[in-house]
Amino acid sequence: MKTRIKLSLYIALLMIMGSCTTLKPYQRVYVDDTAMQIGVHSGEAFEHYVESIREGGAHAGSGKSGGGCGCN
Amino acid sequence: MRYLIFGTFAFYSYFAKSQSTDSSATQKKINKTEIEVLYSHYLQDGDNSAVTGGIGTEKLTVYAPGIYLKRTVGKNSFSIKGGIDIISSASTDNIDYVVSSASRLDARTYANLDYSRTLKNEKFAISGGAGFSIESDYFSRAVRLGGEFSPSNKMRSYFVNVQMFFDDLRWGRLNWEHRKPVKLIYPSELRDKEWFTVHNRNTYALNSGLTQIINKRNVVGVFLELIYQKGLLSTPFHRVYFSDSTLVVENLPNNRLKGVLGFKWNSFVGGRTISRNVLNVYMDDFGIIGLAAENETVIKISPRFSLGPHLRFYLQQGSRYFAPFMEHRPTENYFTSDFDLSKFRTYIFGFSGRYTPNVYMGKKLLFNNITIRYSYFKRSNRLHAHIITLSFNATFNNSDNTSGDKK
Repeated sequence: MKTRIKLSLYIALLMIMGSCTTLKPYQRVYVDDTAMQIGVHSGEAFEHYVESIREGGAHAGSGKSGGGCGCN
Repeated sequence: MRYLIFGTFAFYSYFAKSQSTDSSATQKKINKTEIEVLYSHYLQDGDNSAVTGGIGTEKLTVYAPGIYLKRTVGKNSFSIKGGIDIISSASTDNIDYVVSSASRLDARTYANLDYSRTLKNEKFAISGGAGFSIESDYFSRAVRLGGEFSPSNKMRSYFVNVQMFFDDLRWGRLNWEHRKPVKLIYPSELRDKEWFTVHNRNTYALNSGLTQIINKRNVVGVFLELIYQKGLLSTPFHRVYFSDSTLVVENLPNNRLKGVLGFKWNSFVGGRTISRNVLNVYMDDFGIIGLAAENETVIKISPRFSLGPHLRFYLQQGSRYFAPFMEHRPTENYFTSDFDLSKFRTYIFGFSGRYTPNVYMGKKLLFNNITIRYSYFKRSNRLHAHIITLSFNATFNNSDNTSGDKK
């Protein structure tokens, strides 16, 4: 079962990386859109802060790691 | 299997390096200041306050104004972020040494300074920063260092950051009579003894990630975060009632290891719709396991207006140290009745709207956008909250040449 999960993840990664193309500047209209950026956007940071306090967990890639306040 | 995976990464990395960017255009030195002013309002209510042993009101209001300034000059960026969270809570009266009316105010003031520089070949960037956060019973100092690498074709980027927080949980710094750290705050009826000999909490976090542009319409990101905390991890003013009615202070282990794995996928669907998706998996050695799935849909009504809904679902397996009011046995070594560490489900739904005029106000100040975001937060153990955030973004162009729409 574990081998099947690993193999499935590997095949998915292979398909993702295999489909990666290089975009010329004029082809980047969609990916350069502000809303397409992977980072945390306006208004989301405070919501992530609430989630880090009111839940026991943490967000990956959000920049808030825990510590810095009297919370979890 | 591991050799197969590493071999595949090496294979694709080799071909990614063979691309180069078009360098025929001339470049001007960037000189601008980005400004973000925001305000968040938070209204919460619930019935399981940890301050009163897992029962009692959790009614709380937070007024949170903040400002973010980022000055970019050529390859250097300097930023400052600051704000104040003003907290009005009935349960605060059960904490502080100064007892007053039913809804007392507390405040968390914070500031962060950061610097980043893009290195000569523009593939690498380094960053560093420091900050602090202070409340009546908490003082935190933070340090950050990081690096980012993007190959020439800008299709992929890698980053790694290290953050460290050095926290002191003693009360007194903001009290006018003392103006220095004095002692830990315990529940008023339990102040006859020192429950903890440690008053510090240190956090060490390693963040890393990879973002990849898949094609013209899809971007993905993978993130891994490891966090280690050491010191006083209990909250000294949290009460715990044992099953025999004995009252004690919450007691948690003095170290904690957390791990988070996150996946993000943003997709531009059709001509007007963007779908932002997140999957997060969390585990720690307190026994907490969390799984979060989020979606935000942005619909571009026009070139200047966009709006859309967002949803989040979170499932948490609670800590082995948690039990509700009067369910802990007196023989336990570690115990808490803080429902933030319990088993629950969380639902968040809301909407956001953005107006992006990109219009100049005067010669150099560009009004970028204004965003409003509302979320309703509901936890399965009766905690619920409303979150509203308003943000305003502008850019001050310090260069002689300007571009964009003129008013």
